[in-house]
Amino acid sequence: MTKARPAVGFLPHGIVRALCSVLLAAIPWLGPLAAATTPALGGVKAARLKYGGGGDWYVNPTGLPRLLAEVRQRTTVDIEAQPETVEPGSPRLFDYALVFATGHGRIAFTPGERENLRRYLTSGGFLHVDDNYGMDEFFRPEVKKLFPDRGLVELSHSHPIYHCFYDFGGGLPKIHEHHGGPPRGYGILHEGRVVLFYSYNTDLNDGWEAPEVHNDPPELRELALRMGVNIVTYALTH
Amino acid sequence: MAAPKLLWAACLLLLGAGLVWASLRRLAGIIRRRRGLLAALRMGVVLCAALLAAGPAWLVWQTAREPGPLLVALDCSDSMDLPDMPGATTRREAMSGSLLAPGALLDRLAADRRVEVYRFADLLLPLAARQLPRGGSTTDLSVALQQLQVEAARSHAAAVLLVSDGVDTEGMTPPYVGRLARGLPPVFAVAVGGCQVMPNRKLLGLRTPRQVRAGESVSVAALVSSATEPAGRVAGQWRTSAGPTGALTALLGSEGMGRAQFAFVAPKPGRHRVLVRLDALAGEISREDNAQAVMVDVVPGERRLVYLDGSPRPELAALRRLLGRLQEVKVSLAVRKAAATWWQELPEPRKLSDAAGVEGFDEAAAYVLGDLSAEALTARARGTIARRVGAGDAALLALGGPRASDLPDEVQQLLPAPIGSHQARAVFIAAPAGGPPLDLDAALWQGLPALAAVNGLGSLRAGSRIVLRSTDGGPLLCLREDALVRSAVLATDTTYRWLLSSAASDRSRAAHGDLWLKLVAWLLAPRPPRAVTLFADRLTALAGDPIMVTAEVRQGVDAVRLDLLQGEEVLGSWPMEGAGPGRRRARVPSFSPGRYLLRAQATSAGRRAGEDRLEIEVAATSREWRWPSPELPMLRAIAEATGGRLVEWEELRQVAQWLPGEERSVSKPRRLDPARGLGMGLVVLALLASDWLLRRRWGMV
Repeated sequence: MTKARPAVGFLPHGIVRALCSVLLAAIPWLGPLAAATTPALGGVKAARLKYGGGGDWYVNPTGLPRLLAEVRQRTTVDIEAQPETVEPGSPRLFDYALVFATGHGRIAFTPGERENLRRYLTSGGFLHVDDNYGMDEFFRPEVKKLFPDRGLVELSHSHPIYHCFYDFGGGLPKIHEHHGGPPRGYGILHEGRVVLFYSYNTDLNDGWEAPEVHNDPPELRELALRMGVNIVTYALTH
Repeated sequence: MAAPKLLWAACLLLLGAGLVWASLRRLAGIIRRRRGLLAALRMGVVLCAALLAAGPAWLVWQTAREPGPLLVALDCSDSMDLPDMPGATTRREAMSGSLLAPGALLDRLAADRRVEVYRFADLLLPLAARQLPRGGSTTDLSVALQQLQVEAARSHAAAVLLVSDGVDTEGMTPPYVGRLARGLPPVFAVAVGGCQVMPNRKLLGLRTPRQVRAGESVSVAALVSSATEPAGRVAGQWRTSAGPTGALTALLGSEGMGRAQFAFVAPKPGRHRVLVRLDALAGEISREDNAQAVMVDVVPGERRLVYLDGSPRPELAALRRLLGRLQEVKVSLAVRKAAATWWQELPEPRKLSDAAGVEGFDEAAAYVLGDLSAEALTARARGTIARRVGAGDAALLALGGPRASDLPDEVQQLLPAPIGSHQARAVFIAAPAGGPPLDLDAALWQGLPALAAVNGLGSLRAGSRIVLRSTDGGPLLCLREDALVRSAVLATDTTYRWLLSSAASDRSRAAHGDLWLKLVAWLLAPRPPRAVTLFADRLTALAGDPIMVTAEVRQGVDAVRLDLLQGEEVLGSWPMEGAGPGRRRARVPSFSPGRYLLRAQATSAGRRAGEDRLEIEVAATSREWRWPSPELPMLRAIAEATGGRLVEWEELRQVAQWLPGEERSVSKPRRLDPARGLGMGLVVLALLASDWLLRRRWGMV
């Protein structure tokens, strides 16, 4: 079912991936440092979720900062432009209004992380998970464990998350081709609110990255950023 | 003795004396005794001529007995135009024909006595011609009787013939009028007017709730009377100042009373006038009492909370989720997501260019403003919020945030305290004291997660108090309640931390709900009545009638002043006196026909607390129409107090034989003119003849 991911840009895909991996290897060290120097006070903060299971949680390092910068520029949301890193079991998870997760492979939560994450989400937190190709088969079982009493539901194209800032009448935009068919947006609903948004078969994080990383056309990157703005706006208004 | 014409007599005497002297000079040759005799005779003639010229007279007073005059007082007030006399003629026409016409009763009475005729309504005036003019819109029998007493004393009147329907529009009672009549000669009170009921439809009153919610059905009951239409149907129309109109029909009972009921859907909030008018009856004279009006206050049908926030943020999301749990509250939520664009999130998502375009903005019972800078709100939005909150029509809550200190000035003025700068620091909240108006549950407020930011607050304004403080003593939540304004300021935008933090617990979540639900309930609690609300016993008064005006006042109002205006001109001003708890009353005297405005201004602790206005109308009509039937007890009281008699109209022809016949003593002067007449002529002739005979005997002729 899966297809080989096409190379994009002027560098072979393997080289790009290797460079990113080396660069992001430092992030686990930088994350706690950043958390220690930034008090959990003041404006809206977002974080990258450092999940377990061996997946590349650090992928697309420039994506989220670029998205947050665009959010600051395009909206009135007073959000910190530099995202921090937080583990699912950390008490600091509650300091972030929204948390992002992406990757290409395995993702797994410990029971303690699950409990913490569940409490975060049902207390008003928000998690966006973007399948960067290869995550789906690991993520769905984890969601089932996270919310045993409810499953991921596909959101209709009329859902506010597609219209709360920019209009996406056709639902999620397609950024990169991973699998055949259209992109899909799923959600975990708690008291009528989407607390976890799962974007599949689109790769929004690639679209948020700097132009030279994937060499995507500007229109695609704009679509990705717009959808990202919608996700942030939705999370902070619902 | 009458005054003589002395100048003429003196001239004549001098002339005569001259002539006598000249004639005696011609008799110089005769003896002196004879000449003296002739001179005496001739001087006598001159004296007689002088007396004739001077005309002296004597007046002799003689006592005689004759019948006393009859004073006739005819009622000429407006009620004399009622056509209830035989042949459907008016009372005025019947009086003219039976009393004043040539050969009628007054002419027959004048054959054997003097008759003095007067007319009266509110004053007694002589009736010069034999025509009964229209008198006036009031009948004051007490004044007429007092003036009759003066005339009767002057003329020694033997009796008074009083022709009237006996209705006193000034409210005098028969016993009182009877006492006033006691000094009069016998009064023969002729009752004019038929006792049949005149056609008159009357709207006795309107019953309606004073206050209803918009969209509700307003039921109005009209109480109707029409004595000439027992078991009949009375039709009419109704209309409201807000638009709805319709027809009504009242079914009358056997006594001519009934009610009509109609209903309409209360229009948009405001004060609306409901006017009901009955169709006029054929031949109905008094149509002014066919209509009445009543005021209905329409208040917003639902408690709507308008929440405007300056940006998407966790506090907004948390508050939105909480507000969504309130079934009985309509929430309109708009967020300024981009610099020039608002998004209405609730009730239906849509984009707005102006926050004032959010659904129900103009009718909100409360506004919540979250982290809004001055440039976020248009002049219209700012003005509406300031006007409605300032007038007590809506409550206001401002939340803290980075931009909150830049709230528009007109909105800041309404807050309990001005909002200062925003600081990101951990702030712990101290347990509230509890008690009204929020009645927070102090047990929930121990050890709550820290707030992440606060705004400083300026000095508290009058009528404000601090409800929540931080543990370092700084104010966090202040409420303001004075005569009009109800507002609050919450100096943080991070209460969501009691939900979304690692230290959050069931107790902190309960504290969050306790605070916000009670705060929203306080904001949306039904407003106490306006500082002053005016009601009048009638919105349409007849000329000459006072209007009783009642004001319902809110607690804390010290004084209410009532003004009567026509245009901008203040025609009168009265303090409204206390008339029980929360009520004040004043009596507005009669004014000439026209439209007027009543304005009540309430003050509280020397400050203006509010005002209310009510339009009234004074209709041009005569109060005479209200009591069309003859008031026989009044006429009987007058007659019995004077020894006279109540005379039915049919007995009018016989009244001459009942009038008193006894004579009265009258002193009259009699003139005696001694110098006039035949006697003086004979004396002159005798003197002249004696003169001639003596001269002949003496041979002088």
